[in-house]
Amino acid sequence: MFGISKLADHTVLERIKQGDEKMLVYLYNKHYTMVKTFIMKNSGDDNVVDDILQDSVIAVWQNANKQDFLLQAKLSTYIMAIAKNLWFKELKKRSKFTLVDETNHLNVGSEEMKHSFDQSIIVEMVKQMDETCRKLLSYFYFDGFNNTIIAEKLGFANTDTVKSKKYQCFKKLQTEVLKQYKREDLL
Amino acid sequence: MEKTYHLIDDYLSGKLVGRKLDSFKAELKASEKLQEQVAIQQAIIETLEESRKAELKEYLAANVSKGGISYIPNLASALGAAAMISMLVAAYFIIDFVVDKRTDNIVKENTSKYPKRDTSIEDTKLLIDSLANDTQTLAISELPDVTNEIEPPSPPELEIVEEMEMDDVDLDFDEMVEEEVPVFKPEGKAAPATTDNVEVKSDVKLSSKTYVIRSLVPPQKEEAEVETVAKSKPKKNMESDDSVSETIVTTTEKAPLPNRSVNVEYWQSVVNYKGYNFDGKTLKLYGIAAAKKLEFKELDGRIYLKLDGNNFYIEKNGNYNRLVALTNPTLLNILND
Repeated sequence: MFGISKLADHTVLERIKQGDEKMLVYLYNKHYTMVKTFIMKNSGDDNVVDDILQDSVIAVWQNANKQDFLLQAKLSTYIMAIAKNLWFKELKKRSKFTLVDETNHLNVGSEEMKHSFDQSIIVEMVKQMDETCRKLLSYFYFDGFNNTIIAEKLGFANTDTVKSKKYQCFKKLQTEVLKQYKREDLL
Repeated sequence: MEKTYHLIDDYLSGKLVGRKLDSFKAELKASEKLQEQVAIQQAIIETLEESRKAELKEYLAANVSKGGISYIPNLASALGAAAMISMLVAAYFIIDFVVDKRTDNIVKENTSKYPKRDTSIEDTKLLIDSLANDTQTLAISELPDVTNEIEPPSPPELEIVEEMEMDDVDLDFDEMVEEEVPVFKPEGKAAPATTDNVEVKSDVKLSSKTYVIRSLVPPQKEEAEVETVAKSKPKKNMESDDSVSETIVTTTEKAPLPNRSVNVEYWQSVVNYKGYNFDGKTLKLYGIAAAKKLEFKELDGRIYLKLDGNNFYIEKNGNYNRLVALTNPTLLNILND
């Protein structure tokens, strides 16, 4: 594809494991046309292509850092499979909502109301944290980086420092969250 | 506290396995406080994940253009690739044109340079080279002036031959060879160089002398008998031997034949040939120094050469011969006496 230098799959995965966020853009650009074509042919529109592809690429980002991850097909095939699943899941969700609307309003938001608290408030709290804590917790819980990579990226002396710093940051966030919510809200 | 936090972390991430997992599950079931702690930690982790996901989405949205693909770099790359392909194609046609033109020029030069190529002379040189395998000296020393003897065919004849069909041509290779082979006449002249590139060395004549051939009269039968007796009784009658010698000398003196002379030429061969060539008048000696003493004798119409104490029979055939020493004792006795 013109404009995008072609990288081998193993190179892309290796750079994802090293936390190179440019690979997200690379994967997004590389698979945009493919995903868009698929969604458009399956009752989709332009508005959802961006969300589906973003979620697909981020899923690859997360999975690539898992210890048991093993790519058994081409990376583009893998991304397309994720995009298809996400889109079919979205279609299923839409059909369910349509069915509910046509009958009555029972069970409204049963899946959406997962927590009794407003998650966005906590997200804002996370954003208010100092950058090191925020990155540390994000790298560990979302990206799945191991402590060695986190130590390298954040400039910690060793993995033990990462471990103790992580505990401190988490407790700090938990304290802030518990200030905002009661324990019962979080259960 | 910290230990519990890491334990819950491992439990939620699925890293807790085996007996530790069983033990944790048992404790989780028994302790409400632990259940609460797990729930809170899980909720915060989920929030962290959502936060990070939103952050990455923002990053993606910021770094990719609306629609996903940045078309400007693609267009630039496409244009660049198209320009490069165009240049390569143009270069190919230019080089192809230049090479074709050059090849045509070379062909024209060759056809104009060798329109009247003298194939006969070239063939003659090859033939001479083949003959030289036997006697290099013969080929080199007697190479005639081929340019004078072989006339090159005129160009129109060549064209006619090219236009003739092969069916009409009655090729007689034997006749062709006979026509092509030049007749060598031994004249002692070195062949002139026909081309600048071929350097033909020739034999060099060093000097010449004239020698007198001493004629010997073959001994009579009686004298031979006397000689036999003298040989069988050498100790008893030494005088008889002298008498035989005297008899021969006397006989020679009694019937002397006119002495002839022979012109001897000393040659240096380019191939270090050692031998002679005698045509009846001139004796060419190859590889023999002129300072050496030569003695010629004639017996029964045959000429013998004495050189370095050895006697050689000089054959009159005009060919190149080697000097072979005589071994016949009777003949040697006559020649030495």
